[in-house]
Amino acid sequence: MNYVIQVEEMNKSYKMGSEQVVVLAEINLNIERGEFVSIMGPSGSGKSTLLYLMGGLDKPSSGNIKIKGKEISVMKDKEESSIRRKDIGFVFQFYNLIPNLNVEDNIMLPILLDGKKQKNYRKKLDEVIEIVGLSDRRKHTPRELSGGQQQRVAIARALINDPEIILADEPIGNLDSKAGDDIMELFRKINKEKGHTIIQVTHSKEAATYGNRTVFLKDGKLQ
Amino acid sequence: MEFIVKSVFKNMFEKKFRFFLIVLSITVSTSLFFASMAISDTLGKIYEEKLKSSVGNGDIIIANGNKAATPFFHTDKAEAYEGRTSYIIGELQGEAVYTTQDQKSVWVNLHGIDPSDMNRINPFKIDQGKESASLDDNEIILSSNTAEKYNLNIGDKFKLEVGGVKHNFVLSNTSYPIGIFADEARYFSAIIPKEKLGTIYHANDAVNVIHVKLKNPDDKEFMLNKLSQAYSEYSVREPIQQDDINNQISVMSTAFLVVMFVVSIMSIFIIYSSFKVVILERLPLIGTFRSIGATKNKANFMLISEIFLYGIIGGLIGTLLGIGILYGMSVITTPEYLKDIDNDIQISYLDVIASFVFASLLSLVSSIPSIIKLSKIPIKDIVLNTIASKPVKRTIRFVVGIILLIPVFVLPQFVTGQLAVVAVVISILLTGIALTLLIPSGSEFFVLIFYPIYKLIFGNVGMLAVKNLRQNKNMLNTISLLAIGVASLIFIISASNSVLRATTNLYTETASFDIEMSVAKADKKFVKRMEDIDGVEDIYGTFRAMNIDVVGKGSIVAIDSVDKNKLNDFWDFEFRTDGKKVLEKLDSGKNILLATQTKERLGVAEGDEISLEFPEGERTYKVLGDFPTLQFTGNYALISEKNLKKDIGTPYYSNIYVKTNKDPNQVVETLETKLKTSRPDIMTTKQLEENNVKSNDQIFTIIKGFALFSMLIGIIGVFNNLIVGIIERRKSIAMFRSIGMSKMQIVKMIFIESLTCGLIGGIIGSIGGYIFVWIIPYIFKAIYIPPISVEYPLSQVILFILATVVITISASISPIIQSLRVNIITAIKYE
Repeated sequence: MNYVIQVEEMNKSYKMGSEQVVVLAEINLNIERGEFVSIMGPSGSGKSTLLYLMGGLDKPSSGNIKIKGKEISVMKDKEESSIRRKDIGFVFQFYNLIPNLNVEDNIMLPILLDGKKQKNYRKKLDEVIEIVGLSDRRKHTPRELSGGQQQRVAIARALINDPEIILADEPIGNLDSKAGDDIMELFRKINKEKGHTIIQVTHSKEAATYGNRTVFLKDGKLQ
Repeated sequence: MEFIVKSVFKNMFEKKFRFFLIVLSITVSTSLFFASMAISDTLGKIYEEKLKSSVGNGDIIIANGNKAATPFFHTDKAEAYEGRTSYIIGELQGEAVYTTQDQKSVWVNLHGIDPSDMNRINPFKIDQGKESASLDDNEIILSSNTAEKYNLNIGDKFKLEVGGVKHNFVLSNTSYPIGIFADEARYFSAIIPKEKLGTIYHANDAVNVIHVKLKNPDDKEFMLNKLSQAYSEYSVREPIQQDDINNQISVMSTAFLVVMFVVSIMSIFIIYSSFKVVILERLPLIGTFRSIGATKNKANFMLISEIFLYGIIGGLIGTLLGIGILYGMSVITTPEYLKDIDNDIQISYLDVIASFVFASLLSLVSSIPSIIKLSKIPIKDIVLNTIASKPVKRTIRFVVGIILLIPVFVLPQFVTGQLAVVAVVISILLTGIALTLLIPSGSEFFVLIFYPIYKLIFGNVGMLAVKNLRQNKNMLNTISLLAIGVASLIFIISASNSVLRATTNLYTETASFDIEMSVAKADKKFVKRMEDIDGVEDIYGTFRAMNIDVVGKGSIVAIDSVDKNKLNDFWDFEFRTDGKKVLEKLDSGKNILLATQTKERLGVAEGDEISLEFPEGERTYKVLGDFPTLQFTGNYALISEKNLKKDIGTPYYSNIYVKTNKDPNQVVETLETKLKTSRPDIMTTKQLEENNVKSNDQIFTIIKGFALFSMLIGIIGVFNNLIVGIIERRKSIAMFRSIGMSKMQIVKMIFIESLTCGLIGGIIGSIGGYIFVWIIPYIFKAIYIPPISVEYPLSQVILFILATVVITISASISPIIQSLRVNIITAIKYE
């Protein structure tokens, strides 16, 4: 099969005081290329933790996570960071943009971090800005944008390097329903037209319907 | 209330590091504040002690005058006022000659006095010798230095020639070189029994000096009056002129005022940025507190109580540390033998209280902006932690900064007289504030310059780093701290170097003679005799009046006489018009030429008449004009020889200047030999210069050391700011990491940011320093120091810029480690 992410027998637990708290237990999950997967579950079920683990932002306590066939827990920081720049795009609930950089600079960050020349990505920048519909806001800083517009910048940033996978943590959790619908529409478009694999964590059943598969988590276990 | 106190204490102990940083900032600032106040007193004391080492600690001294028929008198008339005095001690002072083994003559100051009495007037400390406090007939006390120099041991017999007759003495004790034994460069001192000297002089129980110490110093005027009447033929005066001390201390006080100002500004920056983070971390608690019904005032009260507590703790530790610093300095600067006599560091309760008030005010002033900002935020935003920080308003700050700089350049130039001091202090303050306001725009400007360079050297991460600098308030604070620190250092170093250089060059630049000498009872005949001595090419004698009151206006420290035909050959004064013509005019009547600073200080103009109180009575003089000079730090005037000679009522010259065509040192030796019996005090201009440097060196070293020490607080501030900056930027660092920034790239980014902060801080500081250096001549003018050329210390400035870079780079190590430890998920999801 053509899996971009493979989670095998993965466990994650934290030590809280003297107690060991199990957050995720025996997770097995495969994501195929081009899928749009929604992870749902009650608060504290471990949805975000699973997403971050799949993005290499945290290490599993046991088990494996493979991105495009490569196991990330054994990777060095340099390789892991490179995967986050080239193969994965993150979209967060609170956008997480750099306040002192304008829209263009925020979007170009992964390019800059990759040590590439900005001028070679001008066309790509125009394209992603066009996709997210922010052509008239290119020189604005995040604080001059609405929540929905900021999330579009975050999505454009996630797209600039043409990553295989987009990981979104409650991408519309901080938006009103109109802005939320627009963002979900945008995700669907990116998934359908560009073929990016999208995995989102959401509380909203409506948001989950934009995807083509939904997985449920409860008490750290896949249902 | 109990809840508030509990939460305040809990907050402090939960965030131990922050608590430590804030308290450390307050502590260091308070200790510096305390020490700068106390050191001024202590330095004043050092200077006073220096003056007192030759004359003792009495309040009034009665000595031989020109009018008296006999040089000897009795203490009985003074004893009529015994009730008002702590002591009235009579002494016989005299002179002797000691012939060394190589047949050289050395002058000896004889003090005929009981050693216990001398200890009351001018304490000394026995090094070796007999234990008994009194001296027998032939016994003598010398300093251990003198004994060593002339190879004399306890019990050794030697001869002194007094009044042409040789007398035998036995060395009974040696003293450490303090008090009368402190300065023995060109002669040495000795204590012998009063009766012995009385017999030699046939003084019959009389004395030639009386030392009077008053119980109440406020009685001084009254007693001076009464004793002047009682001893009308003798000289009754204060041993040390308070004016001299005040003059010297005013320069130091100004320097320390600047240091204190810098320390306060730096501390405000540090505490402000630390407390901003404290508030940021307290937000959830304050949010909860407010959401369940606490008023704004209660929430503010909680924060103010916390900062007040920091102030008290910092104030307490700071004052103790300040005392420690002061004690340390006193231990370092006091020689071993002086430790049990003279280690009294000057600590006043007022200083302690002022330091406490300073610490509390400092904490409050630094934290109030954050508290006011917080109270304006809606509860909803506090609870949800959705407070957006506003960008730095660069344009407004730039405009205000530039506007503030206008009076900086205008005020000192146009405000003169008494208000000049206020004008320069305002200018210094405004420069500091303007510098702070201009830093965002200045940083922006340098960022634009650095951007292409960094792009080339450091690549994309370099570009990111400089972009971060543009809006990050903590980094701007760091730059401000460094800039203010560097500017102040330049200011202090440039000012002290200028004064040091000017006093050193006083003789090289204005003296056209080679040797200066003073001799008791040197009249015209004496000078005439000197002309025949080998090596003497030309000679010029002057009369001098010291500490002359100007009725209703103040006083002049020194007035010298002028021989219109000689002055220009021996002194190079810069008269405003033709020197010859000015001196002709001076000679033509009761005219006076004032040093420019004296003219301004007295507030007189050309053509005005002033009344001078000479020993012979009040005399009116017409102000002919002014001239710039550093003589007596500009507290100086010139009067024609015939007038001054008459007004001071003496035929004897105070100073004799000699020009030579031979080696001055050789001529000094010849003069000493030929004029042996007159006991001349002779020095080459080079020696005079060296003495000047020596006397200023200790004070300037302390001032410079203090300025460097105040940089320490700047360094603490930089460390604090960079750490605080990372705490604030945890979320953005996590974001950078989430989109693929490697740990190495994080390290590189923070390193470049720190390097740039150091560079920009250093460069802006050196520009600010340039403005300060521009103000310095006006400061000198305002405190009546004559015009001195002030140089910008360029080579040191380059060192300072390098130092700021080293400071910021070393300060970046901890933030780098912290940033690598940031938990990406926690920072992104929950902060």
